[in-house]
Amino acid sequence: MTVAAGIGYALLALGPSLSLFATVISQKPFLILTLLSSTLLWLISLIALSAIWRPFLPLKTASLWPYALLILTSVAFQEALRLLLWRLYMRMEEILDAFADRVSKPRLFITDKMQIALAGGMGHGVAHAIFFCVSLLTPAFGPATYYVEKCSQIPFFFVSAIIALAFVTIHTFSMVIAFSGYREGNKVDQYFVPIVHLAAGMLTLINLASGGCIVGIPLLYVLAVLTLGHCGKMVWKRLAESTRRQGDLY
Amino acid sequence: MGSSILISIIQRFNIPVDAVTFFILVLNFTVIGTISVFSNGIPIIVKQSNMVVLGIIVAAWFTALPEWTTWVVLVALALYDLAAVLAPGGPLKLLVELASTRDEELPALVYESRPNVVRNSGARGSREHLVIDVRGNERENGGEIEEVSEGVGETLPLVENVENRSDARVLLRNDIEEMESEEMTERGIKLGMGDFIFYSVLVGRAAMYDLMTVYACYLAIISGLGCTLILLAVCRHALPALPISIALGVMFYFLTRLLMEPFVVGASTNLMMF
Repeated sequence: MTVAAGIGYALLALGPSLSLFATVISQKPFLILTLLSSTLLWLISLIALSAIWRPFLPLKTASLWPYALLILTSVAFQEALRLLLWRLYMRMEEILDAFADRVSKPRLFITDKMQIALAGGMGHGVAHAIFFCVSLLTPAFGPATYYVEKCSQIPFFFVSAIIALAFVTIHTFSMVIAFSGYREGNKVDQYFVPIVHLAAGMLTLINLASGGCIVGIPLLYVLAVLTLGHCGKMVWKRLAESTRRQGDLY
Repeated sequence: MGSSILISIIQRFNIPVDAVTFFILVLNFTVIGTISVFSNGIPIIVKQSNMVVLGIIVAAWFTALPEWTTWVVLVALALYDLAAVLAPGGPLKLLVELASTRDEELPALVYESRPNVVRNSGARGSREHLVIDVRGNERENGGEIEEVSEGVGETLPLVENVENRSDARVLLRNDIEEMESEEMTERGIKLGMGDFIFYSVLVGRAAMYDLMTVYACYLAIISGLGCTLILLAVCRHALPALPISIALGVMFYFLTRLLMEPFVVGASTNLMMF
C-alpha cells in the first residue's frame, strides 16, 4: 500500500510530463538534449538562489513578507534565466538555419521551434517537480504519512504532488508562450509569463494560512488551466497562420 | 561479491530459492558475463547489461567505504585519469594508441576487440577512457543498432537539419549515444568500465544522503559526459571521461547538501513553491 501510494504521488506529479516525454520528446534526440540542459540550468538557478538565501534560513518569523520577498526574488531570477535561455536558443537557431541553408535542407519548421520550446519548458517543470516534490517523497514509501500543520486535511505528499503538477504545467507551457512571444515581439505574451509565474508563486503563500490550501490550490489550478488554454490558443493561431502562409506560397 | 548482494536481496524480499538453483544462477551469470566480454558472437544487449550489472555490483561495494574516503578516492581517480590519458607517457594513452594503430591495419577485428581493451582497463580498477571513432568506415561497422537509429534519426526534420554538418554529425551522434548510455560500448564511442563504476559510486554515495542529491549528481554527471563528448568532437582523440563529470558531480553534491537542501525543504514543508 505504501509503495503504491509513493508511486502514485510521483506519477501524479510527473505523469503528464511522462506521457508528453514519451510521445513527443523521446522521438527526437535533440529535444532530449534540450530537456536535459534546461533541467540542469534550472538546477543551477535553484542552487544559486539557495546560496543567496542560505544565511537567512530558516525563517523564524511568522510574518508573510520574508516569504513574499523570497518568492519575488526567485521568480525574478528565473524569468531572467528564461531570457538567457531565449538568447542561447536564438543563437543556436541561427547556426542551425545557416547550416540548413548551406546544404539546402529545409529550415526548422514552426512545429520544431515549438517543440524545442516545449522541451525547454518541460526541463524547467520536471526539475521543479523533482526537487520540490519527488525528492521529498522518499518517506512516502515508508509506512506512515505526514501532515502539515497548516493544511491538515490531506497528507503533505499529496498536496505537494498536486502543487507540483500545477507548476509543471505552468512551467512547461509558459516556455512555449514566452518563446513565441519573444519571437513575435508580442508584449502581451511576454508579460503574461512572468505574471503567471509570480502569481502562482504568490498563491502558494495562501498555504501559510491555516487551512489555506483549500483555497490556494484551486486558484493555482485556475492559473495552470489559464496557461494551458492560452498556450493552446496561441499555438493554434500560429499553426493556422503558417499553414495559410504556406498555402499562399504554393 | 555479486552473489552476496543477491543473497541479501533474496533475504530482504523473502524469495524462496534453494541453494542449487542459486548456485546455477550465479554460475550462469558469471559464465555468460565472461563469455560476453571476450567473444564476438554474443548480442550487444547482453554485453551491455552485463557491464551495467557489474558496474552496479562494484559500486555497491564501494559505497561501503567511509564517506570522506570515497570523495578523496573519486577526486584522485579523476586526476589520475586526466594524467593517464592526456600525459605523453600515460599508460592509457599508450593503450589507446596501440589500439588505434592496430585498428588501421585490421579494422574489423580490432573493432570487436576494443571492448576488451576497455574491459581490461576497467578490471585494473582505475583506468577509464573514452575512445571515439571519427572515421566513417568504422561508423559503418557499428552494427545494426546504429543503422536503425540512423534511419529513425534522418526521417525526423529536427535531426536532419543538425546532422547536415559533418562536425555536428559527430557531435549529435555522440549525444544520441549519451542518451542511451548502455549502447555506448558498441557504437562509435566507448566508455570505459571504470567510468560506469565510478559514476555509480558517486551516485550511490549521494543516495546515502538524500534523494535530492541523487538527482543533482545524476544531472551533473550526464552534463559532464555531454561536455566531454563535445570536447571529444573538437579534439578527436581519446579523452578521460571522469574529470569533468566527477568534478561537476562532487561540486553539485556539496552545493546541494549545504545550500539547496535546507532551502528547498524549508520552502516546501511550508507548501511554498515557485
